[in-house]
Amino acid sequence: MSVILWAILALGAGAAAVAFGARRTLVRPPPLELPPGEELAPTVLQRLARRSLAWGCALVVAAGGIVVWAGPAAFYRRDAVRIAVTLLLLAALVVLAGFAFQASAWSRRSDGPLDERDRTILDKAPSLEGGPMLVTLALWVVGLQQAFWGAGAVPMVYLYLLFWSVLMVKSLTLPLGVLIGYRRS
Amino acid sequence: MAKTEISNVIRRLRFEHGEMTQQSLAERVGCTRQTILLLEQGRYVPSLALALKIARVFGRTVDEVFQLEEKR
Repeated sequence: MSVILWAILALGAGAAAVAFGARRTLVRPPPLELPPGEELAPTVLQRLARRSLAWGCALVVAAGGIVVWAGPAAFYRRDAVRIAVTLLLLAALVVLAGFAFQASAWSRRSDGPLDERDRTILDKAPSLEGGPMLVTLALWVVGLQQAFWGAGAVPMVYLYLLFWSVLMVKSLTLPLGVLIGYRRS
Repeated sequence: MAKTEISNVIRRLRFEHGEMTQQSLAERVGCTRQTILLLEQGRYVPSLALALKIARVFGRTVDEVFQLEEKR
């Protein structure tokens, strides 16, 4: 293996170790003290983040399932596969961008449904994006290099898939970051 | 170095004000009930604006509602 491949593998392993370590050392707040039988209603931002994340994940998994089932090369050869995957990914993007726009619109309104804690959580949520995006990119690079090392070139379809996967990871981490923010505080 | 924490007497003040509910207080100061619950349990430190609004609802000053505690 080349030096670059080893370096990427090491970076990927390092990032995974950092993420694992951070999760292990995360201080978990004690559960909230509520009167017996009472449940704390989620905030509007929490509800929207849950719905968006569920729909976004479902659409991305469906698109990924088609790619795995038909094979990446079917992108070139079969219009139906390309259109189905693109439509699913676009739908996921609309759902996730819708969440970002709606949350941002609520945050700007002083009389909106968000309070200062919601705004703080929303502002901090994008800080989660960097790590997963880098790990996704590293995994793609390692995988492609391993798969096409002998050929000396990577089929163009993978660039398209790489772009969409990084975009989806970035979009999914915003509602995920919001939900993690509520759990941590 | 000593660790500083902010405690408060919001729960006591709510009960002294006709057993005001967390939801009612939340609506009066413009935040969610979750935030009031977390404040009462010392798990959220409010902004100065929210602290002033809460103090105003109870007719108190901010330092009558919130106290700075140093823990070693």
